[in-house]
Order: sequence, then structure tokens, then C-alpha cells
Amino acid sequence: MNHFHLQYGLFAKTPDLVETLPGLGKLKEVYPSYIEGAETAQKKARQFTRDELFPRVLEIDSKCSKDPRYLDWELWRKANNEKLTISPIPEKMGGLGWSALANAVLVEELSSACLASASNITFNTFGLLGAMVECRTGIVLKIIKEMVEAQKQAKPLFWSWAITEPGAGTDMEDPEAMETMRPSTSAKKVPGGYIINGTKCFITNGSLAHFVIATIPMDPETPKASMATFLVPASAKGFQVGRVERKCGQKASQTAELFFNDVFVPEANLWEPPGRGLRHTREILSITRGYIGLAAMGLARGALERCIQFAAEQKVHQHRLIDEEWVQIAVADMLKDIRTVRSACYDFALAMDTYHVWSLFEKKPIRASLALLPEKLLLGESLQQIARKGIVSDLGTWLKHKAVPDDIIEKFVKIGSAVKVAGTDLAMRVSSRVLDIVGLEGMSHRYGIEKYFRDAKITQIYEGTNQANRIDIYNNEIGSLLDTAIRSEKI
Amino acid sequence: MQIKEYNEIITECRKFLKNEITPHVLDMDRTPDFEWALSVWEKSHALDIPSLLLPEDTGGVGYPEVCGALVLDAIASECAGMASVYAHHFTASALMTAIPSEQHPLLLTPAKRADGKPVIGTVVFPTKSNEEKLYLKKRDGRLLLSGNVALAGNMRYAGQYFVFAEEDGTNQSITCVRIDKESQGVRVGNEAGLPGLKINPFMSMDFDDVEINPSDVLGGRGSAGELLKKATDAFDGFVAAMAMGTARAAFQKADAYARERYQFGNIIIQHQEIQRMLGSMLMKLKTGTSAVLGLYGGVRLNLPYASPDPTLAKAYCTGAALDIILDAIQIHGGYGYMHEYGVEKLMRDVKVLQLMMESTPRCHIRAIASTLKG
Repeated sequence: MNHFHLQYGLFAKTPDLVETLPGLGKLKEVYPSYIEGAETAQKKARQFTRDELFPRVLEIDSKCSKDPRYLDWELWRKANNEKLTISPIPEKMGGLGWSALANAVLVEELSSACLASASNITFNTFGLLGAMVECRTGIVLKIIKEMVEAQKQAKPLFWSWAITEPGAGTDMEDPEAMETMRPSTSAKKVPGGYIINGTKCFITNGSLAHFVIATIPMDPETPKASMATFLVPASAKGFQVGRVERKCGQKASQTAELFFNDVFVPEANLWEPPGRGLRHTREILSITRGYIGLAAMGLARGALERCIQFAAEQKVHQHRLIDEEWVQIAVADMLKDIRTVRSACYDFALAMDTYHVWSLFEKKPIRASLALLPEKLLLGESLQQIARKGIVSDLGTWLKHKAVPDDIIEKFVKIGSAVKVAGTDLAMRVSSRVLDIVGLEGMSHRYGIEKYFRDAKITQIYEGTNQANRIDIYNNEIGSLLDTAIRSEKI
Repeated sequence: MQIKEYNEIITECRKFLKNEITPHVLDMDRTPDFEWALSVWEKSHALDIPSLLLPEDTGGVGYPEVCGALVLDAIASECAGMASVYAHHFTASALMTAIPSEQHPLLLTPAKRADGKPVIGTVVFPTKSNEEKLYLKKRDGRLLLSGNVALAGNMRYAGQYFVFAEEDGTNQSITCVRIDKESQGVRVGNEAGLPGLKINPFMSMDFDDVEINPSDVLGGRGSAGELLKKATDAFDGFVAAMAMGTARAAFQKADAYARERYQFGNIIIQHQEIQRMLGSMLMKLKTGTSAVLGLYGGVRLNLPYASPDPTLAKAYCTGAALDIILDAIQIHGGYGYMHEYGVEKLMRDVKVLQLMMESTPRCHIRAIASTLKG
């Protein structure tokens, strides 16, 4: 077989962001630096994906099949070297200063080659996202400093979110369900801090994490009212990583069981007080669900691109597979679906920049600080000390909640859920359909197409099953209206 | 009617599966041990499964294909990969029933082991959709088979291959020949690395001027079109049966899980959406099973519009099975994606079944295109 890469998708001329999403054209006219930033991101992300990730994907998948704890550290270091692991951190503080839009581009490109490796690289920012929820200035600055220093020293610094428990998946993410859940974990107040016990499961990067952000109730009898969020260092006594799961796909991303056995965490590690834990989770979901939809859309794109490549090379009697009419129609149909979902995904990313945490970077105090303060001071100890002081620390929280109020969070849970369901259902559909085109031979591991099929299924399950996501869409869009109507009638 | 006997066979078969296959299925998926599969095969002689479909005059049980389909459904409900070993062999058996009985002894003498049990067989189908092909030619009075196929099943196990090949240069007339594994010029290539049916990996095969014994030509030179149809129909029916067996396992797992998993303040089967999903799965399971059984029993009414079509049944059933399994995984949540729960394996297995022979869109096209010829 004569090998070539069709100049398309991952191998297309870059950047093609505005060309493929022409609606961004107007935005580029009025706000050129914003779109140009995303185009730069696309260039960088695509080059990394093409040159580093794409060629290794199948080998990594095979190695992880044998050993679920295998991680291609060389790949991770290369990504880290490009600062892809700290992309949202402002440039002046040592990151790439990428907008939500630019990060969406990164997620899409990486996922088009391997969703699991994409999560190894991008989930590094979980710590920052978690800290941004309450946005205590001191904590945020401390985490940024740690991330930037680790990046410079090429040291991994992984953060995990420990939400799911063996007996509670959806229950940990839904307000109604949480009322009746049966948690396995619990925290107890002791002098100077808290003692945590219990088990979390299916925790992405749990086996690699240096810090675990864990949602744990104080009283298992009243989980919702007492749900709190803790930061648990993996070095804490009594914290233990259990089994790293063998999975159908997404093998390069480790999924682990975590045990908390009388783990003591100091007072300062209480990130959300009892009763606010679910709110913390909801805010995380308001960001991650949309990005999972985006990643899954990237997966679908990658699957289709590999299929097109195969069909353009595969000979059927006297013609190419792709010359067959039914193949062309199927390809066109999938292109149509991807285009539609992709538009929704990027609409979500633009909205992130406009209304969600990224909008903070546009707020005057933050813009002014980033513009005026020298880099050394921004990451320096003296600023951190000031920032930890009550009033300055609270200032960050105040600013954040003013910029991103609770109703915005629930709004983003809704639109994020819609994007998540659309993207992940698309991923499953496309990754299965491309196999119908390439047939049994094209399903061989070496063509890398079946991997998308195996990878896709989990996207419909994690970050809330698509059923739970649909409930969120309904409750937020229609259910809440009905509740209000009933309430006003009563009045 | 042999319904009682069939039921007895299935009952015995299930006991056998529980003891011999079920405990090992997940290990064999992860790290296939072909010796294990052969040992299961050996033990299954006690139930006469390997000789189930072979004609009686060859020492077989002589049961019809429907019995084979029922057995395959049962095996697939535990392990589709192991079922596929039998399915390929059964297809070879089905071929045997389609050739004149006077040819049986000629064919079967070399195809039997010293203890009289049949050698594991497989059918190598002509590839319809790519460049590779197999062809027969005559040279110095000898009949020779050459060419290659990208994917063939049972390659780890089969001792004899029933190969469909074109008569060189005719592009039309098909001949079916039997070849021993040890024949000179037969070369089994690499594993294809498919995501499912791991215990029965598909492999490529090369034939380099393999000499064919004249008594190993089934039917007659260039006139194996009917035999090919027989084998294709049998295999498609078997694949459909395996798909439904696999889907049944998925349904039962999901149903059981939904009755014990507590979420949203109740066992999840109390939720309407879970009931809807399970109901939809059951609908597909029942219509798919009917489609399989219709291949063997529906013909009795002699209704022209209900004539059996194994290829379309296979396309329908494998699609239905995949839908059922995807929902079964969904109901299991994260657990469904983990290897140890044995649900995600069903998805990988069934997707391979779905692409066997030809993928669904190709089956659809052929169903109509074939009516246009001539």
C-alpha cells in the first residue's frame, strides 16, 4: 500500500479554525487577538498531535493493555515542555495564557488522535480549576506557582477529582439523588482538621495524583447537607491507591480505586465547607462536561479521518473503497454530524470565555494586576503571603462569585450537558459506523480505527451518564420553569 | 420433531459451559490460551458437539442447522469467541451435508482422526471486497491452489480447510476444495489483531501452489456456486445466532444489575428510563431471536414474503445485538466499561460478528444488487 496522508483534518494546512468554523470570522474582525490566540493554539496543538502523539498511539494502547499502570512519560514530558500541561495559566505567570477557546482547540486536536493521552496532558489543570471555584487568592496563587515550577522542572504534578464512590455515581452529581445516596466515605472534625475514611472508585489519574480533590460528607446520614470538599495530598498517611482498572478502551488514562484510611487533613485543606460540596462538584461539571463533549467530538473526527485515509488507500477490485457511493454518502453524513456538533462545542467554548471563570481574566483588577505587577512578584512569596490574609483572600472569592454567580453555573451545567450528550453520542455512533465502512480487515489494531470504538463508550458514561446529563438539561431548562410556575401560583 | 432432544442438548451444553468455559472467559479474552480452547473442544466430544451437524453416514449426529444455531446461541451467551470456533466448524459440517453422500467417505477418511472424531474444520470464503483472491489452476496434470486471504477464522485450531477459489482466469466459476493443514504450500500468517473474539483470532493465509487431491474437490470443478451459497447461508445464520446469544447475556446482566444497583433513592430498575431501555433491549432481543429461528422454521408456512434470508438476518441481528449491548454497558455505568464485569467484552465481540463476511451496508446493497444480475 502506498502510504500518504490526505491533507485533511489533523494533516490539513494549519490553522484552519476560521475556515472550518466560518462563524468565527466576524469575531476575528472585531477581536483579532482573541481568534489569533486560538489559531496559534491550533497550530501548536496540531503539530504536537501530528508529530508526537499520533505516531505513538497504538504502541501506548498495546502497552497499557498489558500493564494498566504504563504511562508514556516521554510523551508527557514533551507535552509539558510545550507547556500544554499548564495552558490556561496566564503567560506572564509562566503559562500559555490560553483562552477557553484555545483550550478547546487543544482538546479537540489531542483527542482526535487519542482521548486518553489528551486527558493525561490536559487534566493537569484540574487543580487550578478546583481552586478557582472559591478563588481564594492565596490558594490560587500557590497552586499556580506550584504548577509553573513543576512545569519548569519537568516534574509531573497531577491532580485528581475523587467524586465517584462504589455505591454512588450519579448520586454524587445530582442534587435530588444526593439526598438519598449511601456514601461510603465520611469526614470527622478533629482538633486542627478532619479525619477522612472510605473508598472512591474510577478516579481518573488517581494512581498518578499528587493531590486529590475529594468530595466527602461529614455525616453519611445527611450527605447533601454535609457534603464538603477536601484537598488530600497523596502523601498523607492512610491514603492508598488500590487497583488500577483494566478497561475496554482509554487505556492510556489510568483509572484507580482510592482508599482513605483515617487520613488526617488540616483545616486549611477544607476547600468547601459542609453543605457546599455539591456546589463545588456542579461548578466542576459546568466546565468539564462541555469539554468532554468537545473531546468526544474530536474523537469522532479522528475516527472519521482515519477511516477516510483507509478508504482512500484500500483497493476494492479495480477501484478505491472511497469511490463507492454508499461510502461517500456515509462519510458525508458523518461530516454533517460532526460539523453540527462541533459548532455547538465551540459555542460552548466561546461562552466559557464570556461568562465562566475565563471571564475573570477580563476583569479590571485581574487585568491590572497581570499588567502591572512584575512576573517575579506575581509568583513571589511576598504576594502570596499578602494573598493569604483574610481580606485579600476573600477579595478573590468575592470577585469570582460576582463574575460567575450560581445561576451561571447551573446554566453551564445545562449547556455543557447538552454538548456532552451530543458529542459523546456522536463519538459512539461515528466510531461504530466507520468500522462498517472499513470492514473486518480495517478493524485490525494496526489501522488504529477500532481503538476509537473502544475509547468512545466511556464518554457516554463518565462525567455523569448521558441519562443523568439529560435530566440536568430538562431540570434546568423546563423543570425549573414549572417549579417557578407552581410556586407563583401558590403565592 | 426433535424438539425434546434439542432441549436436552442445550441443557447439557449449558452445564458444560458453566463448568468448562464460564470461569475462564475473561482470562482468555485478556491473554488467550489456545491450548485451553483445544482442551474445551476435546471435552465437548463427550456431548458430541463437534460432530453435531455432520451427516450420520460419516459418524456424525446428523442434526440440522437449527440445532447448531441453538448450541451456538448458548455457547455465545458465555463466550462468543469460543462459539465462533464451533461456528466455523459447523459451517464446514453444513457443507458436507450439501455434497453427494457417495463423496462422503472419500472426503472424510482423511478428515477423521485416529479415534474417529472429526478434525476441526473451517471454511475459507472468497473475499468479495478487496484485491486478494484465491485461484485454482492446472499444471502438469496437477490441480494447484494459489493466492491469499487477509482474514480467515479458526486458523489456530483447524486441521482442515474448505476453501472456495476461482478457476484461474474465469473470474466466475467457483470450486470448493478441502485442504489439510499440513499440505505443502499452506502458510498461516499473522493475527489480524481484532478487538473481539480473542480466543479465535483471525489470521491471514497464503497458499503457494498447494496441490489438491482430486477426491478433495467438493461437488465438481467450477460448479461450487450452490455450495458457496450453502456455506454462506449457514455461516450467516450461525453469526446471527451467536449475536443473539451474546446479546441475551448482555440483557440478563443489565437486568440483574438494574435490580440491585441503588441510585436516585431506589434500585435503578424502578426508574422509567431504565425500564424503557430494558424494554427496548428486550424488543430487539425477541425480534432478533425470531429472525434467527425464522431462518430455520418459518419456511414451513411456505409464504413467499417470509422466505428466509440469512444474510439480512445476520445484518439485522448483529445490529440489534450491538444496540442491546451498548445499552447494557450504559445501565452498568462505569462498571460496564471495566474488563472484570464482562460486559464491555460483549461489545467488542459483537462488533467483530457484525463485520464478519460483509458489513451491514454491504449486506443491504448486495440484497438488492444481486436481484439485478442476469
